[in-house]
This record gives sequence, structure tokens and C-alpha cells, in this order.
Amino acid sequence: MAQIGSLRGFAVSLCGNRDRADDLVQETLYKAWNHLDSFKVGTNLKAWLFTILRNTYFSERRKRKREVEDADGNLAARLSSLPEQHGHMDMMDFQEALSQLPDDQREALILVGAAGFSYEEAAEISACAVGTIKSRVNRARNRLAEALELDEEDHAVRPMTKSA
Amino acid sequence: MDRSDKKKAPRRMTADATKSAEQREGPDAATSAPSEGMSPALQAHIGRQVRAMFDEVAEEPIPDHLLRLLQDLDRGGEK
Repeated sequence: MAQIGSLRGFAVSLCGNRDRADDLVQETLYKAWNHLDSFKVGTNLKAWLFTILRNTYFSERRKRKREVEDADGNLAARLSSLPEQHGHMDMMDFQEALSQLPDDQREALILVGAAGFSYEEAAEISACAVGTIKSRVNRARNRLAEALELDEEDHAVRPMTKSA
Repeated sequence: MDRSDKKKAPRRMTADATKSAEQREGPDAATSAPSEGMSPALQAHIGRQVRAMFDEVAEEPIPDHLLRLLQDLDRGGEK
């Protein structure tokens, strides 16, 4: 199933840790299999799987509230343990900046910018309005640019708009 | 992936649609609906980084235990 790679990518962006991500994917596959009757053939399988994964992640987080506080602190460290590659210094800073984004912004950015969903699909997966996804993506980009201090020296002129 | 869905987005009713963003199209289809006040070049750069990070995981060979799970599910699964 080609979807699994994408699911893993999304899961890692949520948990910051490959092992936990793979556990999450595993649980998602079980749930999907056991609820196949609720999936309508011809609708978006990928979005459905992503929705299950997301819901699983957040309901487990609610159960393990105390663990999450520790996990957030280690998130940057875990992400930075991903394999190096060409231009890895750039990537390291970027991973850290990404991990420091509020969850909803990071999620929106990943769904739309990396997992290939439309704004409508991302809104359905995240159970919010399309406009909400758009503003989360905008804020995520602005915060990343700020955190990485990307400005006119690196790229075309960018008027700074401080957003919360 | 049907990217044309994105172009339909401005016509949807949403409570807090950002109208000015809808007037421009970003050069990169995967990161369209541009960030207000952000240059397309910077936006594309961020888009590339996000995708690179995501693809790094997504393109890995699937771990054995997940492959085995898929096989088990195919064979009749467990409840």
C-alpha cells in the first residue's frame, strides 16, 4: 500500500519520533481494517486513513497528558536525530523550527504542503473550516521564516508582518 | 491528486476566508494560496524544505513489522 509511506511521514510530523510514529501507523491500520464498513468506496482513502491516524494520535495524547509535556521538550532532539543529508545544517534548523510550531499549524502545513492534500481535504481531516486551514498554513510559514530569520538577504524582499 | 480542487477553494463559504490571498496564485502548486506578505520565493523555499522532510520519511522502505501487519490483515486479520 503506497499510502503507508505518507502515513509514516505524517505520523512522524505529529510525534517527532519514528518508533512512536510506527506504533501510531500500526494502530491506524488496525482501526482502518476493523472499520472498513464505514469507508465508502470511491471516496478519498488517503484522507480517511490520515483522519484515523490524527484522531488516534490526539486521543492517545489526551490520555497521556503528562507524557506529552516531556515529549514536547524532546521533540527537537528527536527530529534532529534523523539521518543527515546534503545541506543537513539547513535541515536541522528547519526541523527544529518546525517542531516548535503550534501543533495545529505544523499539521496544516504538512497536510497541504507535503502530504499533497487540498485545503478542503485538510479541513476535513483536521475537522475545521477551510479558512482555518489557510490561516494556520499562513501563520506556520510566517513563523518558520521568522524563526529561521529568512529575510531579504536570503530571498526576495519579504515585508515582515508579525502574526500571533 | 487533483490540484484543481485548490482553485475551487475561494468559492467555498467559510467564516474567516482571507479574501486578499485568493487574488493571487503562488508559483508552486503544492503551496498555493500564498501567505500574506511573503514572497513567492521564500514561500517556495519553505515548501521545498517541508516536502523534503516529509519525503525523507515517506520514501523509506516500510518497516518489516508494518509489512507483516498488512499481510496478516489481508489474510483475514484479527479482531
